[in-house]
Amino acid sequence: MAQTGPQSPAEEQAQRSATAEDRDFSRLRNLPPALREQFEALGLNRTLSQLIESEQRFRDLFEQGPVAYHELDDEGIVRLVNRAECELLGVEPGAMLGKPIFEFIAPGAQSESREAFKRKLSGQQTLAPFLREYTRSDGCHLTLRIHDVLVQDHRGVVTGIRSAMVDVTAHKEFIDALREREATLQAVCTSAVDALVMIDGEGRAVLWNPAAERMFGYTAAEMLGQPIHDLLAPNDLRQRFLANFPAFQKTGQGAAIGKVVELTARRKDGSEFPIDLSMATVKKGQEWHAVGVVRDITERKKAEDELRTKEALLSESQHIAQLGSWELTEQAGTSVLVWTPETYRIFGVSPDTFVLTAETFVGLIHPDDRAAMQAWIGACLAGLGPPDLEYRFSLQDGSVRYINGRGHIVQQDAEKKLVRVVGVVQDITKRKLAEDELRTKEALLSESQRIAQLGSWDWTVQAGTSVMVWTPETYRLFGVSPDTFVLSSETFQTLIHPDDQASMQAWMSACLAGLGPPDLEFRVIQPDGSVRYINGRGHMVQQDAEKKSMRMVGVAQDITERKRAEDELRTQEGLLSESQHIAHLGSMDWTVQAGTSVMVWTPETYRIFGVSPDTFVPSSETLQTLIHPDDRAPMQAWLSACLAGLRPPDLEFRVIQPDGSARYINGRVHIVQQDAEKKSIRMIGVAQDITERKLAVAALLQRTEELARSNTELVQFAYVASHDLQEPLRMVSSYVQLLARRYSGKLDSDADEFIAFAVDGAKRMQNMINDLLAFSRVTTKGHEFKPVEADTALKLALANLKVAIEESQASVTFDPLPVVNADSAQLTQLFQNLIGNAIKFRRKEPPQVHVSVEKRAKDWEFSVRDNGIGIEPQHLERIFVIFQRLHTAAQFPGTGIGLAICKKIAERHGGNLWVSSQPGVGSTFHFTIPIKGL
Amino acid sequence: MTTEMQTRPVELLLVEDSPGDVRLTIEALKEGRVINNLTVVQDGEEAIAFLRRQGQHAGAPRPDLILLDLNLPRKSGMEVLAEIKTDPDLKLIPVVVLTTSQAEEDVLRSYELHANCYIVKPVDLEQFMSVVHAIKSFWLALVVLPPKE
Repeated sequence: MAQTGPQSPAEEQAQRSATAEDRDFSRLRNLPPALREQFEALGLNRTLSQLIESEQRFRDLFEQGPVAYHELDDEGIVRLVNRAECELLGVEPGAMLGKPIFEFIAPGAQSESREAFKRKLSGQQTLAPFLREYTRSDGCHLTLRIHDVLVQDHRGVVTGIRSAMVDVTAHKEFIDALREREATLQAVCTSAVDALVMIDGEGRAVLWNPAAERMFGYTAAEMLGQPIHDLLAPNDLRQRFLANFPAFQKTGQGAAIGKVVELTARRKDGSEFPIDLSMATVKKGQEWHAVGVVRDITERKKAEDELRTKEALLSESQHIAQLGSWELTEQAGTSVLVWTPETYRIFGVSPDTFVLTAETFVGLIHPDDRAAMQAWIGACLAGLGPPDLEYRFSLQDGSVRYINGRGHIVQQDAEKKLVRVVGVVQDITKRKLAEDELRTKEALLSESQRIAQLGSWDWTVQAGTSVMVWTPETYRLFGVSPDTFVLSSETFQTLIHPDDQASMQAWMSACLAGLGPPDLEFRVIQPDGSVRYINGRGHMVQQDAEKKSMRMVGVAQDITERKRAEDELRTQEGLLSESQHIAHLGSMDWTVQAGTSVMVWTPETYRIFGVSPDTFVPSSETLQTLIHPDDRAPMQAWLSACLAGLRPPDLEFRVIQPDGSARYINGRVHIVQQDAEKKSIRMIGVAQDITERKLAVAALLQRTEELARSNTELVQFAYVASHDLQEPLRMVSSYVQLLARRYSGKLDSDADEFIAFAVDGAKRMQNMINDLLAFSRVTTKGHEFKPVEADTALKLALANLKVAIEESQASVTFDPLPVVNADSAQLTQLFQNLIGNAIKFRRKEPPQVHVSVEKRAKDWEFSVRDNGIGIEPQHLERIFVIFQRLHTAAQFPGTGIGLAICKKIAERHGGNLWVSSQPGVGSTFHFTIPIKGL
Repeated sequence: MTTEMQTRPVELLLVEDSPGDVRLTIEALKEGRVINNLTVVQDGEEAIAFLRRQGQHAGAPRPDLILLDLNLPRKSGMEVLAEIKTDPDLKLIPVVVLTTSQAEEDVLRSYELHANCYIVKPVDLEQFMSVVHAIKSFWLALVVLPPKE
C-alpha cells in the first residue's frame, strides 16, 4: 500500500490501513459527471482514462507485482515501499516507511551505502542495475538486483531515487551454479584424458578439448570449425561415416549413438590408432549436434591382446599341466559352476554338449567318490577350507582317471550367503599310476633286497652324533630285529665276529676320514651261532670341508653262499688242474673281439707246451713258435678256421719241447660264443698230449700189420699145405702102398716092416696136414655169426657121432640150450670134438656125457661133462696145444688137433675153453660164447 | 645101364702133370672090364691143343671123358675147364675134376665152371684104386655118354 508524506505515526498507521479504493484512482473514477464533462470537453477524457488506466496498471503492478519497489527521497528515507519488497526483505509493512533505507538493506555498511546513494544522486555514480546481497531476518541469504531510477520533479531537480528490486537469488544461484557447472565442465574438458569432441549439424568441430589436441595432434584453433570426419577418420571408415552422416543429420540416430563403438582414427601425422567412441546427441534448434568421447584404446588394445595372449598361455599351460580351473559361486541358494577349457578336457566333455552345473559335475565322478565330493563341496562353501580332494571319474572309453581337486574361498559375504570359491583340478592319473608304480617298485626293491640278501644302510655323522639307518633286510642279515635291537654305529659292531671287529673299526675310521675304502668282508654271528659272511660297501654322499660331518650310504650283502662257492670253486679248480695234469690235458680260453685276441691258458697247457706262465705270453702268434715247423701251416689254417667259426675237426700237431723232443698234441676247439658277423668269437680249446697214445697206436698198428701179415701167411700156408704138400705126400704114400700091394710077400719080412712103417708115416703125415688145414680153416673159413640154436648144432654133432655113440653105448644128455650168436658149422664142430673126445677117452664104463649151460653176466657158459679117464692137473693147459697128446696112438687115436681146434673156435667166438677134471672120475670141458656176440 | 656091350673102346683123356699120379691112375684103370684108350697130357695147353686137334694132335680122337687135375703148370686146370665148358664143340664132354685139393673154393669154382663132378684124390692107395674104379663104373658103364658126332 502506498504511503505518502511525513506524517505522524498515527497518521501513517491510518494511512497504511487505507485500502487501495481510497486512493486517488477511485476518486478519479468516481469523478462527478460535471467534471467528467469538462474533461471531455478538453479532450482529456482519453488522457484521463489513460492516466487512470496507467495508474491502475501501475498500482496493480506495484501492489501485486512481484517486483519489490521503494522510493527514496534525497535523504534516502523510504517514502514508498510495496508489499513485495516488505515480503522480500522480511520486514513488516510500515516498518520501513520514514526510515533510511540503508538500515534495512545494508545494515552493516550504512555509511558506505549512504555515500553510494549520495553519489548516485549527484550523478557521480551510474545507476546501472547492480546486485546486492541481503540477509533476511530469518537468516535467508538473498541476492537482489536493484534498478535505480532518479526521481525528478517537474523542474528536473533530483528529488530521490526510485528502486526496483528483483530477487535474483535463485537466478543468481542458478547462474552461479551454471557458472560453476561450466567451470566444472571446463575443468573436465581440460583435464579429461579422453578427447571430448562436439560437432555441429554439419559435422564441424565445435568443441575440441586439450586431450583431443594431444590425441589427434590438431590444436583447437586448427580443429574448430573443421569437418572432423575428413581429418580424423581413416579412409575406409570415412566413406562409411559420410554415408551415414546424412541420416544422423536428419534423425539424430546413428550407429555410434548411445553406445561405445570401437573404431580406428587417424592422427594429424597420418598414423592410425584404435579408439573407443561413445556419442550422444544434442539437439540445438533444428540441428542435431553430437558430442563424443574418444578414448585412445591403443594401450587397452595392447593390454587386451596381452590379456588374450596370457589367457591363451594360461589355457595352454593348463593344458600342458593338465590343470583346469573352476569357479563355484553360490548365492542365495543357487550355485554356478564355471570351468576353463582344460577342465572340460580333463573331464572328457565338451562345453558345446555338456551342461555344467554342480550336479552334473558330481554325476561325472566315480560313484564311490561322490559322497566325498559332495561333502567337500559343502565344506568349501562353508568356508572350512578343506584340504585337496582326490577322486576318480570314468572317461567314456571306460578308463579311470584320478583327479586332484583344490579350492580356495575368494569371496564370502558376512552372512555367508554369497560364497565364491575358485580352484584347480589336476589330472593326476599319471602321478597316481607313478605312485602306484613307485609303491610297487619299493615293494619290489624290498623284495629284491630280500631275495638278493642285500640290505642297505645310511650313516650320517654330524656334529659329533652318529646316526645309522638300516633297511629291513639289513636287520635280517645281522640276525636282529628292528623291534628289539637299538641300532647305532657302536651296537652294530657287537654283532660282528670278534676276529673281524678290528678290521671293521679300521674300515669305519677310513670311511670317516673320507678315504673311501674298498669293500670289506666280515663275518657276522647270527643269534643261532651260525657264521655268515657279509660284504659291506659304502659310498660317500656328502662330506663337508673339515670332515666334521659326512653321510655315507651303502649296502651289505650276505655272501656266505658266494664264499662257499668260491671255496668250492677253488677246490674244483685245484681238482681240475690236478685232473688236467694227470690226463695231460690242458685247456685254453680264447676270445677274439674287435681285433683283440686274448688267450688264457691253464697250468697244464703251459706244461704241455713246455713253457712257463712267468715267461711265456700265450697268443695265436707265440703259439706258432712252439710248434714243429712242418705243422705250422696246418696249425695256421686250423686257427683261421676256428676264428671263422668253421668248427674244424681235431688237429694233431707236434710241439718241440725245450729239450728238443717232439710231443704229439691233439687240439680240439669248441665255440662258446659267436656273434652274427663273426667279428667276435670265444672258444674253449683243449690240447692233449697224445704222445704215448700215438706211440701205442703206432705200435698197435704195427702189430696189427704184423698180425695181418702173419694171417695172410697162414692162409697162404694153408693153401700151400692143401695143394703143394699134398702132392708129394700122396706120391710117397701111394707108391709105398703100391709096393706093399705088389710086392708084399715077395720081399723079406724086413722089407715088409719097412714098407709098413713108411706107409704109416705117410698116413700120419697126411692126417697131420689135414688137421693143420682144418685148424687154419677155423679162421680162414669161418662164417659170419648168426643166431644159432645150440641144441640144433648139438644134435647135428651127435648125428655125426652116431656110429661112435652106438659102438660105445654112450648116452649123451643135454639141458635146453639157448640161441647163441655163432658160426653154426663151427659150433657143431666144437660140440662134435668135445663129445667125441668124451666118448673116446672113456673108462670101462659106457660113457655118459651131459651138456649143460649156465647164463653168466655177459656170456653163456656151456659144459660138457664126461665120466672118462680124466686129466691130471699138470696137463690141463697142454692139451689145448696143437698136436700135444697125452697118450700114444695105440692107446687112443687122434692127432691131438681136436682140442686146439675147439679152443680156436671158442676164441674166434670171443669166448674161452678150459677144462676141469678129476683123473679117474671124469672131465668137464667149459666153453663160453658171448651173449651179444663179437 | 647100357644094354649093349661096348662096341668100341672108350677114349679117356687124363690131364695130369705128376708122373706118379699118372702111373697110379693107369694101374687103377687096368683093373676092370672097360676097355679104354687113355691119352695123357701133362699140361693145360697141351690138353686144349689135344681137344682142339691142333698141331701135333691133329688127328686126335675126341675123348669120351676127361679126368682133369687142377694143379697144372702153365694153364691151370680151372682155365682148361673153363675153356672146355665154353667151347660149343667141347662142352658136352664130361669132365671129372680129380685133384688133391679139398679147398671149398676149388670145389665151388669147378662146379661153377660146369665140371661134371669133383673128386678128391685119396691119399690112401686102396682108396685111390676104389675111386678110379668108381669113376669107371659110373661114368663108363652106368652113365649114358653124349653121342659123338
